[in-house]
Amino acid sequence: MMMRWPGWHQRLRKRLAPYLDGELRPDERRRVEAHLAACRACQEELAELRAVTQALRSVPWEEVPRSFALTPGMVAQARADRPSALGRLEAASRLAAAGLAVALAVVLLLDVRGGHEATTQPAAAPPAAEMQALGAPELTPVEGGDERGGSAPEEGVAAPPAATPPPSQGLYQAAPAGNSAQPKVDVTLKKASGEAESREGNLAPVEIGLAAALALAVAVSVAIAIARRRGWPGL
Amino acid sequence: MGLRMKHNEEAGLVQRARGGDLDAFNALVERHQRGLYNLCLRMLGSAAAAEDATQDAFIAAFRRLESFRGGSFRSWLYRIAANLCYDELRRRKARPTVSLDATAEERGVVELPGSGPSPSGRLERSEMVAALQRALDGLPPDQRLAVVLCDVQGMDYAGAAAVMGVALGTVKSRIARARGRLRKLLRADPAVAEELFAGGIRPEGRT
Repeated sequence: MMMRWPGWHQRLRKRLAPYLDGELRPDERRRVEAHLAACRACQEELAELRAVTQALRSVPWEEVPRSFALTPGMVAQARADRPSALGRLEAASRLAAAGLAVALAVVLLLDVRGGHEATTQPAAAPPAAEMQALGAPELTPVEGGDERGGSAPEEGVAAPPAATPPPSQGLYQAAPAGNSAQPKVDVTLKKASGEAESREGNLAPVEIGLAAALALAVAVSVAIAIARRRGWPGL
Repeated sequence: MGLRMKHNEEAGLVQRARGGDLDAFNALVERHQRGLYNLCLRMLGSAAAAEDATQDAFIAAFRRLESFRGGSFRSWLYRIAANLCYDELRRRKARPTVSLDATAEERGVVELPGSGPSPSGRLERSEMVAALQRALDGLPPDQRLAVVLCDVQGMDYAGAAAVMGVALGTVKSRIARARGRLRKLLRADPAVAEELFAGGIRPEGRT
């Protein structure tokens, strides 16, 4: 036996198929032939592999069942094809999702930092308002909760000296009334609340919009991916 | 008359087809449809599925002609078809029931005229083809593609590597594994084992 080390036989066995196909380098070929001369198991395996290969090579080519020539109709159909349109939509929605995620992250980051700078001085109220403004749209979007959430704490600080209106009605109107009745209201507080209002008035909708668009983009691409995996026709 | 001239002629057809000349493209279809159909047939094991895949491959090729960067048009075309076959096999794996009830005709087994039971007891060719197809169906798609390209299509390893987009060594190992597996599958198939390995076959234990 010409087995040089354990596994030599296994190694050469794997070369039998390329050997049959004449796809071995000359040195590899000589090694296989030397091993074959001494190894009965490999001789038998080679004979069987040769039989398998010859059988496969003798499989006749079937005639085509019809012509596959393209008709102008097929070409037009292919051009206006939904699959490619859907494919483009999927690619676009993925790209949009990625961009929106980045944009949202940037806006949130700016907002959090800006919020800190603006609210370190006055009181703890504006940050709370901001938190509420951020949280509100998801909890109670129907009631326009972000406006209420923002103005309620401010009013709670500024209004008490005034007529203390019932809390459930006209919170928003109550604030200006309180201000006009008491011109001496703390200026910094007023400024802070005004800032909180404007910030929440500008940025929060931006964030909501971005989040909604992001959710939409993700939903579209996921839906298309699922449809494709299930093998819907034309995808 | 040589290969080179054929290649140049093909390059000319591709050029014209790129400009939107459907007749030129259909001349290419005419040249390659039989090979492409048989590639799909052996990959998918079903005449109906092969017909769909072949047509889809030509449509996709026409649409993507811009992305053909020269070289062998056949390799490029076969690659498109191979990818469509992979997609189809993946879909089937997700819904395994579909492929199980393909009829003999759908599986690409065609009765040859005058191929009744032969007096010598030798197997009919169609039976052998059916057994080989069953064995091919038992291979993972990568290995199946490798043997179909090399053995059924008669490509060399370099040609197969070009179609599959892998290194030569990868083709080599896929072919080796595929043949080894086919040998096992066919040995276990009572319909053909004796015919294929006549004389050479021994009970597993005695080797």
